[in-house]
Amino acid sequence: MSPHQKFVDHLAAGTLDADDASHALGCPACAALLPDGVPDVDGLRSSWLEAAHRELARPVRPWWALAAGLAGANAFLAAAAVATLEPWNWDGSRSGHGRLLGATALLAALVTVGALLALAPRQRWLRGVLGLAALAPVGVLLTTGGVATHPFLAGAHCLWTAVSLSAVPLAGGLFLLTRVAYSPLRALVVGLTCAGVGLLVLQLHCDGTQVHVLAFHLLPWVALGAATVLVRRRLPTSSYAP
Amino acid sequence: MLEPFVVKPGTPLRRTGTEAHASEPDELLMERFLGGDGSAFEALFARHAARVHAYLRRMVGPTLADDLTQTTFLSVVRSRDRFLRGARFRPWLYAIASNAARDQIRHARFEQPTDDGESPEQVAETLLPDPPLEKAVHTALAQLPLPQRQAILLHRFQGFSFGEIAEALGLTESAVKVRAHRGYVRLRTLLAHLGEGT
Repeated sequence: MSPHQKFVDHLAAGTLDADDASHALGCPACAALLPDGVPDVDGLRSSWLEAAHRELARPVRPWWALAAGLAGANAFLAAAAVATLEPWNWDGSRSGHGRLLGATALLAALVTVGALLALAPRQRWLRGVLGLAALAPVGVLLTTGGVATHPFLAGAHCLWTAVSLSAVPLAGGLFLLTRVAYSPLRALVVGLTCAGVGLLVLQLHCDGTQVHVLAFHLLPWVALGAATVLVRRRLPTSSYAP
Repeated sequence: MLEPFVVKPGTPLRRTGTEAHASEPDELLMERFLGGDGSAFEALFARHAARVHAYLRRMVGPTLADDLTQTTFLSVVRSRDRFLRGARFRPWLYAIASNAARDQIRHARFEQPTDDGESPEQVAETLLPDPPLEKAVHTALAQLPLPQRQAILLHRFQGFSFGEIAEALGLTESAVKVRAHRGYVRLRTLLAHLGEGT
């Protein structure tokens, strides 16, 4: 074993001894692996501080206020669409009102509380929202009634509804995502919560078959979540805080 | 309009502020900063800027490290509301620096190569003014996968405990240990040829 290898082994184990120290004195390669002396950055310090001063003069809107704004916008858009669109499938629901209410409450929580928590600094909350999002397809599929309609026409209508209703929330979600460090998981969860607006509205207005719901409600929802990750990846980041 | 985090007009940033805060822990300074005390930020900056720069220099090379250090502290200012009260400051700061470096490396892969056909990261490596052996070590470090490099740089060069690294990178402590161990094994292999001439 060469002195270099011995040095790296001891370094990894945290057992550097006198021999290693004397070896490092004569070996710049191994000396470079030792903890730094603090480099001289005085020349750069003033320009960094100047930039920080300018930034400090600007007001900061807290993350929770912005996230609450997104959650509120999601709720408003979903409520407006639910109230406006026809037909309303409450009376014709074949799965029962209890299930329909349960699934609706789950989706409503996803697009409001989920949107708020998905942007929170705590990773634990983010995982909680992911769990909520994972339950959403189960809830939706449990309430499918099984009314067969014109497959393509009904599908195209639902697809259009899902995408158009989710566009504005997704744009807002993407904007807020650029204010934190890029994280595929966070982007996916925010995408799913925002795209959940379309899913929620369809839940109350379309009583299609399981295949229809899978293909034209849930698949676009997942695709929009995945698209959020891809788009966010390409967007610039204004802050790298977790 | 919500403006709870604006620095109070009565507390301008002063150099003397860093001296006044010299003995205060980071977390207390951050608490003061969140309360609108600009001099507390300056004290944190004075305490950590050089070390963050050193960390970033090893992550992405000296040229990009200058910009990323500024970006790191700008992120601290912009996102101070995301600092969790009661959390440790140093892991949070290095999480920001690590995210900035990772983003830089990720975008370097997307970006067009320079006129010489090199990526920005490669250019940064060629700018290292080190003697050949030292450069070999830097090159070996640069060849490590990013997660392993982060773990080794934070553990060995910044003096972080594995717990602190786990906090900074959002991982479990055992996952960090695995990364660091694999990194050291790989580093040893990469540096094996150095022993051939001695």
